[in-house]
Amino acid sequence: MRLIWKFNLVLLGIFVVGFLTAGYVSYKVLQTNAREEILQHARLMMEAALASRNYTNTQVKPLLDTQLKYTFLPQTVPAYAATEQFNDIRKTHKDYAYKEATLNPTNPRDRANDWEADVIQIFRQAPETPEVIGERDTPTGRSLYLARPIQIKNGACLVCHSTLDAAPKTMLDLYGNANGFGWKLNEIIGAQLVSVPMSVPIARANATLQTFLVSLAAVFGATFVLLNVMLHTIVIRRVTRLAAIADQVSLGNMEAGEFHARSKDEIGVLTEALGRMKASLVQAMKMLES
Amino acid sequence: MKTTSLCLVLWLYLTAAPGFAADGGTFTIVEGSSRVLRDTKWYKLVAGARIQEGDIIDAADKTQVQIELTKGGTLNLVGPATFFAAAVPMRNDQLAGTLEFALPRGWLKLAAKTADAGVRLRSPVAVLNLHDGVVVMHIEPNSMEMFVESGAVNIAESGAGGKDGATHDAKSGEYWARSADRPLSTERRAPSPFVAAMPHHLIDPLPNIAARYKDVRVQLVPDRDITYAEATPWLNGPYRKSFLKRFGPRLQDREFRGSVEANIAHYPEWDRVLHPEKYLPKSPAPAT
Repeated sequence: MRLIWKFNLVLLGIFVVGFLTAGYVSYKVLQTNAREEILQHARLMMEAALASRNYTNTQVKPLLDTQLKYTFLPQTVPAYAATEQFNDIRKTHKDYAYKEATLNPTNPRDRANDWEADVIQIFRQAPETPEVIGERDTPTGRSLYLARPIQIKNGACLVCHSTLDAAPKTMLDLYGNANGFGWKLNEIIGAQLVSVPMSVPIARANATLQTFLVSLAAVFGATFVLLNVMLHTIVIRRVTRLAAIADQVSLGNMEAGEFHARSKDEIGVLTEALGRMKASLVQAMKMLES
Repeated sequence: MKTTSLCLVLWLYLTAAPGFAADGGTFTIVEGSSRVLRDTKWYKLVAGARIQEGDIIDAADKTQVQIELTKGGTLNLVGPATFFAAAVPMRNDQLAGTLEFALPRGWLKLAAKTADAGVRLRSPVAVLNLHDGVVVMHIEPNSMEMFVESGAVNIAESGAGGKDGATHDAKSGEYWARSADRPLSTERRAPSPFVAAMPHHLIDPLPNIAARYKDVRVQLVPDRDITYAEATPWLNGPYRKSFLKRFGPRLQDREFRGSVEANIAHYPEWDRVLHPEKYLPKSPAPAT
């Protein structure tokens, strides 16, 4: 096998192994980063929802306490405020979602569906669970959800949700008397659920990976070509010429050519040595002939 | 002698001064066209004016008048409304007795804070008494609606001849209503027609802005005297006695006097004023 083939075979092997290793490592890192980014978005949204709830509870509701005596204002309900805020966000970011899913809600729109009920059951069975993170398929693509339990820690909540008699009449006027009662202190009645689409960050990660792999392949390709050109120019061509002259000289053709060293590298030193060897051979031959 | 007189004047001033200084309260919001009747004369009402006992406030349609009492709370009147400050007993900047108001018609939010003194509010069909609490009322000549925002209120039907009916306890969150042909009834919430008809700002707590007018003294500009037609409801109402005395000087006005003469059967108390000759001691008949 020719030297160039051996060299190229080894080089190609290194390139393929390097390309695959770099590609796999990069894929893993980018996917992990993308998921972390999605989770970070979800956590930020959850914190925004909690902030909205807190603001409503501590600043908005006290201002409307008097009005609540005349007519029930859902705007004073923290869950309603947080949900409405996110509904506004959804006008421009349709794939994002926030829901205070509840097993027995006052407002029917908060009723938990199948998968949400499963998440709530996780919290009900293990109340110490701080949050649940999962992925699911949606009509718009894969989505990551972050869930935190809604636990009744404040007895004030029970004014509206314990019994029909205790509930404000103005609230019953709005929502009726069928749902949202029988809640108990410290009971987990639902979960805050934030859903963030995975498609965009994942697509971004894939695009980054693709760009990286194409760049890596291009660098590998250029290196491959350059090394071959250099190998051919610096080594193969000179060694081939030396071998041809040496071959002719060995057959007694002293006129085959001269060993001219144009550089001082290893091949140049070899050329000079072969030149001196040829000169010695010519002289020895002349001495024998005389 | 001179020194004694001076001391007497000074003593009179010092004992009387706090009484003069006592403000019943301030008109802190006057939106739209409203006027106040003092003695027998109408004045255009402006914010910053002080309320006086006996003031009758006439608020035009869609107008708002807020009175912040020095002691006793805050009232917000929404027109068309008529309001009479029957008793604002202030002594040395303290309430010296029960505040008494009359509301023949209009919307009123009353935030009372009177400790022991109490507030009595009279309407054509009901009378209510409260000490600390907030109520919103809508009064028409033949009907009354009231929602108790907070506190406890005693409510009774106004009876003919000034005798009130049995007292009921109205609790926070309760709505009470009465019309001329239906007795007092109650609900555990403010019904939506009442809330829908209520002037929107009454749904909020009343603002306290009296401090803005603390150092402001407003001189009200007189407009005209009260007419007979305007005086009639008061002369025939539950405060008849005091109004007969108060509007007596108007009998000097020919037009007013003529109207009274035409209806003298309703005002026998004024017959003696209009026809003193009828009440002169009869001279004994000459002996024959």
